[in-house]
This record gives sequence, structure tokens and C-alpha cells, in this order.
Amino acid sequence: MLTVENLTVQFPGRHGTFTAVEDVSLSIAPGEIHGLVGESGAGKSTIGAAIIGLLQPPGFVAGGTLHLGDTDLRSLTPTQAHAMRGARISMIFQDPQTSLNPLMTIDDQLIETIQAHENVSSSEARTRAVDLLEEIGIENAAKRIKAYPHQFSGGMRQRVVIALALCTNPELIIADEPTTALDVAVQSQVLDLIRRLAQTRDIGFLLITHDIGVIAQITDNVTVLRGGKVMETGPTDKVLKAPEHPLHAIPDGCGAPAGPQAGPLSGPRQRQARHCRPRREIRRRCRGLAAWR
Amino acid sequence: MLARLLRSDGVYLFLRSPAAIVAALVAVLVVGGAFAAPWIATSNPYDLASFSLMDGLLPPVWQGGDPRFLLGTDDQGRDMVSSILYGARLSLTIAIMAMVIATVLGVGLGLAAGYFGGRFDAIVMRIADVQLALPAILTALLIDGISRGVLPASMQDDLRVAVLTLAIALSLWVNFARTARASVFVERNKDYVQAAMIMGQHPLRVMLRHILPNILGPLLVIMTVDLASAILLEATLSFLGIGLPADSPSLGTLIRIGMQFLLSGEWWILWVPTLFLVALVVSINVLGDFLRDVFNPRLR
Amino acid sequence: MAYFILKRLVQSVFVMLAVAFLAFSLFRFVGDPISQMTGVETSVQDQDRLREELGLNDPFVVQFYRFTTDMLRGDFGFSYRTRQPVGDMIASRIPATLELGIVALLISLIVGIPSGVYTALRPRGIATQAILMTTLVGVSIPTFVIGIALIFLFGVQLGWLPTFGRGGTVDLGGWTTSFLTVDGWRALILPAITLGVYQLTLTMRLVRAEMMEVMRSDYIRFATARGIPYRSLHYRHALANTMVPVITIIGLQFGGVIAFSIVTESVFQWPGMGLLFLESIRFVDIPVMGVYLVVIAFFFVLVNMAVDLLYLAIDPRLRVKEAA
Repeated sequence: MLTVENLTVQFPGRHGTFTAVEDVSLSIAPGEIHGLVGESGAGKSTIGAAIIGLLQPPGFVAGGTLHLGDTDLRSLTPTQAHAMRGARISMIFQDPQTSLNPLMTIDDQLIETIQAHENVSSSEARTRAVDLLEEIGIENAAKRIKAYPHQFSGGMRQRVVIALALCTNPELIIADEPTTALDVAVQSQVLDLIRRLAQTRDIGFLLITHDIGVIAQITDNVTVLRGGKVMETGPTDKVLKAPEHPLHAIPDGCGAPAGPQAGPLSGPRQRQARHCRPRREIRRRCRGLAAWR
Repeated sequence: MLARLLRSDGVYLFLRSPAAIVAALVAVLVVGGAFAAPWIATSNPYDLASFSLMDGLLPPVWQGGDPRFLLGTDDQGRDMVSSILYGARLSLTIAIMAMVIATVLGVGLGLAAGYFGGRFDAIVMRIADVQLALPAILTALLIDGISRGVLPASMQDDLRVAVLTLAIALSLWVNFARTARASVFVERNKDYVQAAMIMGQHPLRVMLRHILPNILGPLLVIMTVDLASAILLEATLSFLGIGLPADSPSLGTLIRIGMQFLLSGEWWILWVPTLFLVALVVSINVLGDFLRDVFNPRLR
Repeated sequence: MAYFILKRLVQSVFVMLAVAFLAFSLFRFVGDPISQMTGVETSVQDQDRLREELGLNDPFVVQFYRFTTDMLRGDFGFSYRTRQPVGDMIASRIPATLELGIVALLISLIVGIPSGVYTALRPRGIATQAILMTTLVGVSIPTFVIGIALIFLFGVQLGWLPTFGRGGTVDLGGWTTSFLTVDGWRALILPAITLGVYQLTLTMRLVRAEMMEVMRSDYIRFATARGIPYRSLHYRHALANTMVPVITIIGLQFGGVIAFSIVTESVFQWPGMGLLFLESIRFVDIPVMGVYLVVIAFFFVLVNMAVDLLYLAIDPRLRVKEAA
């Protein structure tokens, strides 16, 4: 369904052009959960942004092809691309605290999203929204849909975010660190939900994460990314059991997105992480400490 | 050292920004000219002997004036170029002194408030809140009014400059204090400050050696912007006739005097000092804006 | 919510008390009230009797209590300079300043908010760069220079508009208004623009900065990824969130409008409170200075209360947090 071939993304800058993603290929079938794993700065999120057409300028797709079904995503006009967002590809962000508009009720946001893509009446859209929330595990949805985001807990909010990504029946959902900001107990609930949705609705997921634990738990296939290049790709159990590249090449937690980090990685790895702290930060700390050395 | 400076972001961005370059040039020219006034001005506007009523109201050279007076003369025969240079010197002196006082006072109070916290912090910040609600010009006017009531009449003229400087300084310190305090709160919980404190370093030393260097960037931006504010405040107060007496004219006083010629044909008496003031403040503000962009890459 | 409003009310009372204390200290300690009220020919005995009559020998707290309660009853004392009741002097000047300030604030909002939104949405456009440069110049030009320039252009050179005073006013039961005559409106235009320009540039830059911040936020990125139409994205999602902090600042700006109205009123000889305050400083007319402060603080408190109520209306997070 989604085919990415030889994707290259570049950011022109003052010290020459930076190639964030180089020659990346991957494909996702309906109902497949495809993990995209790599250290921070490896270009995971950039690939997601390139697929949905929301690269931060000055970044641009410098080469390769992106196809969703028969649609060539690179040939779309900005208007067509915007109409496709939500309708065929949607996205889930990391932090449910900040992903929802704080000034609009849940039903306003859901109804607006549905009506942006389908010509339905408000009451019809609301009925669908309530059904969706129930399906996703929010009890008493008909009443709670009138609430504002701040009235929900973190895990419930991430469910609402998923409902928003889902309410227009997209073929593909890009989930960018969907559980990183959640606490451990809620994490696995949300992952189970994603798994269930992939199976029952035949939606393809591109699951971006730095957490091998998440990859192991729910993905069918995985692509390991490092420095913008594909290190390895294939079925998850195969890649995890017999890695062609040693996995410790992926230091965990290096300036990784904030939030409680669960994962099977422990002691030695953490110490290693220190090495990739930005050099300026280290220098500044040293300046502070030099006084009593 | 120099090579590192030349490769830094600041210099790179500076050379890419024509507005900043022009502004820097104008600022350097104006400030340099003002402080070199005693040596480069052709006459001294404070010295009655150096000008003559006979030369009164001469237009600028290109309107058929006297070549001795490039930008014409006022009704007393004072050379406009000399007047604005001396006026700018006075304005800049007051503004820079006020800014320095405000910086030292604000940063000192802010660091102390952030470091010691508690009741001292609460008091300083309450005062800062009140002052923020009161616009700077109102504060300065009030201080000026009080000084008129408190100081004996004989001393008032002599102390004018000091009162004005203090009034401006006291209405500008709040920004410095808030910035300093905020960064203390950010920095004091970081490992290296904690380490220094555990090592038993004197609080003063922790503040000056560890915390202050971290706020130099934003501080420089505020200083630039507040220098412009100080110049504007001084000009406004003098224009309102509250600031300096007419015999030692700053730029604002010159504009106030020039207002009398608004309706007659002698446009230069009003517009020469006005344009000079605007050019000075605009260039300083452009530089401040530029510095803000340098220190805040997110807005770039 | 009731608690929130009550808290603000109590705070406001304390602010007013603090300002009253400031005004009282001015009156009591800056210069000697008695020597200001009496002439040189008044004997020392008479002065002492007056001091006793006015209660200036009473304990400090008693004097402050009397000062405050007098004010609450509408007795603001007498001007040193004109010997008239200060209350009447200020009251007759309030309409001029308020009308000027309101029109200036409206100008700054009506122009400032749309141009702030525009420059935030097209950060790299040529029009944006032009607007930003203009506002930088606008911030740098002192209010009085803008006033002079407007007078020079529209008053002197073109002769279109009056350059001083309020023009024709209509008395509505003690409130003199410029709004009801063409002449009044014509006299109002130049001062209101002069006063509005600075607030306008502030409003615009603030709206721009907030809007750009909001446009970078996750919920806008998420809404974009859901294909919400750009019109709604910009004007329903982003603008509402932008206005939350902007409203506070606009409330605070009211103070700026009042303060700069001193300058504007001086340039245009506009007969408002600012001009009166300036005269009172020049002549060390302490009672007028003090009462001016109290009145300004009162307006300030009123505006801030209004802003708080507006806040409640816009931001659901501040309303009662019932569990969903």
C-alpha cells in the first residue's frame, strides 16, 4: 500500500547541504505495523514528515519516490496533498498533552475533522465520533465528548488523539513515538489498541520509536535507521534475534524525546549516552566546574 | 581568538544583514560624533560668545545659507550641527548612565531575589510588578515631580541631570531584574551550580561566576533595547519641559524649542534634531532586534 | 469561578489601598502642606491652628484612614495651585482622556491584530518584511515626534485637520463628548493616531510572536496532519490560542495608553487628565498628582477585571474543573 523507494531528504544550510535521510526504501501493507527504529537524529521523524508532506522548511525531498496505493505523493499539488492528509494518511504525535487544541471541546475537534473530509451533517458526524470513542475504549463517550482536553488523563487523551487520527478512516497512520510520553501502564494499553486497530480496520501503521521494547511488542516488520540510512530491514523477530548489525550501535536515550523511558536498556547503555550529549553543553558545564578544579 | 570570532554565528549573521550593518554604522557615527563634540563642533552652543544673533535663522547650505553653518542656525544664531552634537552628547550621557545604573541595580536585585528567594524575593517582585504596571514615563514623571517638592529650589537646577538620570534608571530596572531572577531559577538547580554550592563556595561567587555568564546574551539584548528606551525617555521628558532646563539643551529640548517654528518657514530648527534623534534610536533598535535574533535562534 | 473573581476583587482592593498610600505619602511628606496652603503673611500661630484643624498632628494611621475614607466619599481635597476641589478638576478632564484612549486603543487593535496575523502566517513575504521594518521604525520614533509629524503634514502643510484642542463637544449630563459632532471627530483623529501608533506596533509584534509560537505547536501540526482546512486552522485553532496571552497584554497596555496620553495631550493641547497632571508636576501641585494616580489606578484595576472575565470566557481551563 505504501511504497517508499530510495527516499532522500536534504536540508540546505549555511555549512552546505545536510542529508537527513538517504536512499531509504520501505513498504507497508494494509494491516501491517511497520517499526522505524533508530537513535535520536537518525531521520525517523523526517521520513514520517516526508510521507505526509509536512517537512519543515528548508527541508525538501531531494530524490526517490513515495506511493500510497496508485497515488504518487510527490506529484500532488499543495491543495491535493492537504486534502489527502487526514483522509488517506494521518498522524499521531508523541505528547497527548500538547497534541489537542486546549480551547476546543473533543467533539468540536472530532466533528471538524470528519467534516473536513466528508460531506456529512454535524449530528451524523457526532454519532460517528461517539461510536469511535466507545470503540477505542472511552466509556460514557456520549457525555464525555463534550469535555475539553484538560479534563482527560494522559492515557485517555492519547486515545482521543488516536480517535482523531482514525475518524476519517485513513489507510495509513504514522505514529511518531506514540507512547513515549505515557507512563508504563498506559503504554501497553495504547500499544494494544494500535495492534487491534491494525487488525480490525486493516490500517497500515508506521510506528516511529527509539524504544526496542515497543518494536518487539507489536511490530510485524522493522526498519533500523542510523545516520539517515537503512541499516537493516525485515520481519521483526528475525531482525531482533539475528541482527546483522549489533544493536548496541543504537544508543538509547541520547537527547531522546522527554518523558518516562521504559525499555529493556539499562546501566551500561545509559552511561554510553553521556558521550553524545551536545559538545557545547559539556563545555558550558566544564566552565562552571573549572572554578574549583 | 579573532579567527573564532570571525567564524561565530554573530559575525556571520551580521554580514548577512544589511539593516544591521547600516544601523551599526549610523550608531557608531552618531555616538562618536556626540562624544567628540568639543573637538569637531565649530562652536559651543553653551558659550554665549561663540555665536552671534547676527547669524540667526540662516537656512541650511543647500537652501542658500552660510557655508559656515552646514545645517543652518536657530533664532539665536547657534549652529545647528554644533547644537545637535552637544545635545546628543548630553542625551547619550544621561541615557548611558541611566542604563548602567538600571543594569547594575536590576541584575543585582534579580540575582539576589532569585538566589535567596523567600520574603526578599517576594518584596522585590511585588515592587517590580507594580512598576511594570506603571509605564516607565509615568514613573519618571513622578520621580521628577517628587524631586521638585523635596529638593530646595536653589539646588534644583544643579541637580537636574542627576534627577533625570535617576528617574530614568529607576523606571528601567525591572526588565533586568526579571531576566536575572528567571535565569537564576533555571540555573540554580543545574548540576554544576549545585556542585559549586555543595563545595561551599560563597553565594556571591556562585552568582557572579556561574550564573551571571549564562545570562550575558539576553542581558546584552535588554541593554541595547533599554538604551534606546532611555534615550526616548530623556527626549520625551525634556520635550515635555520636565527634564532639562533650556540653557543646556538635550535633543528633546532642541525639539521642544523647534516646535515654536512649526508654523513658520524655519523647518530645519525642528527637523534637524528630530531626524537626528530618530536616526539614533532606530539604529539602536535595529541592532537590538538583530542581537535578539542572534541569541534566540528559534525566532530566526 | 466565584472564588477566582473574589480573589481578584480582594487583590484589587489591596492595589487601590497601596496606591492610596502612595498618594497620601506624596501629600504628607513631599513639601509641607501647610506652607503650600497658606501665604507668607500667615502667622505661625495661624499655621499651627490650621495644622491642628486639618488633623495633621494626629497619628499617621488615623490620618491615612481619614484620607482614604474622604476619598471614598468623593472628597479629594483642594489643589494648591487653583484652590479648587481636585475631584471636580479631574472629573472635568476624564471624558477627554478616556475618549482619546479608547479610540487610540481601537485603532491599535483593528490594525494591529490583522497585520500581526498576516505577518505570522507569511513570515518570509515581502509585505511582511516591509511591515516589520515599519513597525521597528514605529517603535523607535517617540510619540511626540509622531504627533509633530502629523501636525506638520495634515495640519500645516495640507491644512486638513485641526492641530490642537478638542473641537466641538456636546455635554451629556457632565460628560463632554467629541463623538457627536463632525468637528469633534476631526479634532480627535490626529491625537488618536499619535497615541495609537505605539500601541499598534506593540500589539502587532506581540500577536505575530504569539501566533508564530502557536503555529509551531503540536496541536496545530496535528490539525494540519488531519487535513483541517487552512482557513479554520489559522482563524479558528491558531488565532483563538493566540488571543489568550494577547488579551492580558492588551489590558496592561491600557496603562501605556494612559501614560502616553500625557505626551499626546501635551503635543495637541488636548484638555485631558494628562495635561492636568503635567501642569501639576510643573507647579508641584501634590494633591492633583496624588489623585491623578489614584484615578489612573482605579481605571487600571477596572480594565484588568474586565480582562480576567474575558479570559474566563475564552479559556476553558480556567473554568470549574469538573471531572469528565
